Amino acid sequence: MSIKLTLRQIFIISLVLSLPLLYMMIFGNLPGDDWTSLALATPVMLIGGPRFFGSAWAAFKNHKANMDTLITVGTLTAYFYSIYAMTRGEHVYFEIAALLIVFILLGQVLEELTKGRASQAVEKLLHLQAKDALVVRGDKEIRVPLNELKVGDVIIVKPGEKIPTDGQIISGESYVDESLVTGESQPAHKKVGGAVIGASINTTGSFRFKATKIGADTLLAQIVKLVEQAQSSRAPIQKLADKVSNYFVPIVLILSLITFNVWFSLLHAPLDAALLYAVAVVVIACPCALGLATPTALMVGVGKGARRGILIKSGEVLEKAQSIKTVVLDKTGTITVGQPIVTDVVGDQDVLSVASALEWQSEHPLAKAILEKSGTSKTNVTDFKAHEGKGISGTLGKETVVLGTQKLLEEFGVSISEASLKDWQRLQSDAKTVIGVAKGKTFLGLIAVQDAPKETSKLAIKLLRDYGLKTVMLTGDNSATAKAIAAQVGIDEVIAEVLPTDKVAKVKELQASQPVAFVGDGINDAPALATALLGIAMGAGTDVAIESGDIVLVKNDLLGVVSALRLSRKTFNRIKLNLFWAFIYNLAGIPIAAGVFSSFGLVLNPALAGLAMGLSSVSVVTSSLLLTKSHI
Amino acid sequence: MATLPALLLSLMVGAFIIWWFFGKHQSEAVDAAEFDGLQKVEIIVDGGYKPERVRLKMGIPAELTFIRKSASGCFDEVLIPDFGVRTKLPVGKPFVIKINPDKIGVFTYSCGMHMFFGKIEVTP
Repeated sequence: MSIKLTLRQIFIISLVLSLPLLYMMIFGNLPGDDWTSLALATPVMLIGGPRFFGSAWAAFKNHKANMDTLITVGTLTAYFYSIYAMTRGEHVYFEIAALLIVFILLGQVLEELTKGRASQAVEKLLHLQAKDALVVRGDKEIRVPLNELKVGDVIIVKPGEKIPTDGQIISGESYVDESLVTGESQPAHKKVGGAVIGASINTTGSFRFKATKIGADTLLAQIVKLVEQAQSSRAPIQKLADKVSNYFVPIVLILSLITFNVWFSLLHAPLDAALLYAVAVVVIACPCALGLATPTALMVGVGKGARRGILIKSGEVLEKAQSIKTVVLDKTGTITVGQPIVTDVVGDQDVLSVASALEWQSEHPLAKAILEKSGTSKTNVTDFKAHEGKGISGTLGKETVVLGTQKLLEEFGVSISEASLKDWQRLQSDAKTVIGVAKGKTFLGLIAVQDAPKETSKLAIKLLRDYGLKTVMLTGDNSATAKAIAAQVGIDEVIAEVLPTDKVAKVKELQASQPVAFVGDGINDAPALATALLGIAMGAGTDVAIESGDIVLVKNDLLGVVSALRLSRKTFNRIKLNLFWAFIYNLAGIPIAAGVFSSFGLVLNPALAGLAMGLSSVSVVTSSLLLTKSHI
Repeated sequence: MATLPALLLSLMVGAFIIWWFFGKHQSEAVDAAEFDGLQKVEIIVDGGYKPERVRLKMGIPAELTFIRKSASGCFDEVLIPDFGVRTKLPVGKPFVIKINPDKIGVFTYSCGMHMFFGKIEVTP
C-alpha cells in the first residue's frame, strides 16, 4: 500500500468496520449473514493485519517468534477456518479474526499513549532550559542563543528570568528558585560569589554572573545524561523475564497444539470448538507484559527521582537499596552544615554587638560565624589585639572590650558569676566552642559556636531509624564533638577519630556483617562511597559527587537520603508487582483460554482473549505510571 | 474420524516448531569495518537484529547503523544498557548510534520490550 496510515488511523478504520461484527457477536445475525461478515472482516485483515503478519514473518525467517507471531497465527487460523467453513455451509468466525485485530490495535494505541508518558521525565528536564541569555559584550548588552555562550561570559539576569547557565554572581543579589533542578522548595538567597545553576528561576532581584560552565558541562545537562543512562540500564531482576520471553512464544504455540488435540482427538469436540480453544490460547498469552514490567517502572521511578533532585544511576542500584541494613553517615557537611555557626547566645543584646564589633578586625574562622549571626556593619574598634590561643581585645568608644577564654577574661580582671560559669560548662560539654564577652570589667555573656547539624538532619535520621535501619556516624573529628552531635540528631553509633584514609577500612568492616549504604559529600568521601554497597553522594552539584555515588542528591539535605531509599524501594516493589502480575496473568490466562475450566462454565471467546492480552500490557504500563503519584 | 490425521499433523507441526525455534541456527558474528579510526557496522532491524552478533575492537569509536524495516511496535526502541543507550529507531531511515567500546566482553542489547536480543562482542 502506498498510503501510510498511522497506528491510530488503522485502529479507527478497523474499529468502524468491526462494529457491525461486534453487534453480531452479541445480538446474533446480520442481514446477508456470512457474506456480510466476510465483506467486513476481509478489509480489517488487509488494513490492520499486515502490521502483525509482516513482523511475524520477518521474525520467523530469523528463527524468532514474538507477539506478532501469536496474533498472526490466531487471526489467520480464525479467518481461513471461516472461509473453509463457509464452503461447507458451517458456522463461521470472521468476527473473531476481525475483532482480535481491533482489540490488539486498541491495546497498542493505549500502550503508545502510556509509554509516551512514562518517558517524559527527561524531555521535561530539557524543557527547563532558558532559550537565550542577555550577555555583556564590550559595552553592549546583547541576547545570544544558548549555544553561542562562552565560559567567562558576563550574563545579566533580570527579575523573573530563567538563569541560562551555571556560573558565579559578580554583582547584585537575589532569591533564586532552584526547585526544578534540586527539588528545594525554598528560594535560595544568592549574593556576590554565590553559585547559580542554569535553568533555575530568578525571583525579584537582578544580578550579573560569570558563566563557569556551558552546554554539556552544566549541572542540568549532566543530570539529563545520568537519567538517560539510568533509564536504559538493566535491572538484574529482569533476567528471569528475559529468559522466559526467549522461549515463551514457541511454547505457547505448542500449548495451543496440545489444546487442540485434547479437545479434538481426546474429547472428540467438534473441529470448530477445538480450534477456538487453540486460538484463544495463542492470543491470550502476552510476553509483552513480562517485557514491559521492569523497564517502564524503572523509567518512571528514575524520572520521578530526577525531578526531586534524586539521581539514581541504574536499575541495579534499586536492587542494592533493598538490602541495606546500615546507613553510615559522614559528619562534617553531611549531618552538619559544614562550617561553624553561632548556636547559643547567653546574655543581652550587647553580647553579640560587642563581639561582632571586635570580630571585624579578626581573621579567625569563628569571627565569620559571629558576624553572620549579628549581621551588623563595621564599627570602629581601636587598639585591636589578638591574644594567641586565648581571644581578642580592643577599645570600643572609651571602654576596653574582651572576647575569649575564661582565662583571658580573668587576666583583664573580669569576674564571672557562678551561674554564668555553669552555663559555660554546660555548653562546653555539648562540644561547643564557648567564648566569653566582657566590656570594661563587666561580664556581658557567652557565645557558643559549633558546626551544628542541618535543620533536617534530626528528622531524617529518625525516619531512617523508623525504617529499621541502623545509623552510624563516621568522622575524623574528636570523640567528644562527634558524640555530642550524634546525641543531638539521634545517631545509633559513633565511630570517631577515623583518619580519612581509614574510612574505607571502616566501611569494609561494617559491611562484613551487614550491607552498608554510605552517605557522604562526594568530595572527600569518594573512596568510601565506592566501597559501600550503596554510595549516596550529597553533591550540591559538584562533578565529583555525580561521578562517585550510586545515588546522587542534588540538594544537600539528609532528607534526600530518606526519599531516595523510599523511592528505590517503591520502584523496586513496583517492578516485582508488575512481574508477578505479568506471570500470573499468563499462568492463569492460558488454562482458562484452553478451556480447562469449561466444565465450570468458564469459557473465553478468542476475541475477548485478545482484548485481555492487549489490556494486560496496558495495565503493566499504567501500574508503572502510578509510581509518579506515590509519595516519596 | 479425522482424529488420527489431526494428531499426526499436530505432532509434525510441534516437532517443526521445536526444531525451528529451539534448534541451533546461530549465525556468525560480523566484524565491523574499520576506516579513519572509526569502526562501522550496519544492523538491519526486521523481525530481529541482522546480524545478530557484531564484533568490535576495543578502544576504537564505533558507529552502529540501525536500519529499521519493521514497523512493529516491538522495535520502537533499542536498548544497549552497557553503553547507556536507550533510543527510538525511526522506520525506514538509517539511524546511527555511536558507542565507545571501552571494555572487553559480550554485551547484550534488546528492543524496548526485551523480546529481541542482539549481541555486541568487544575484542582486544
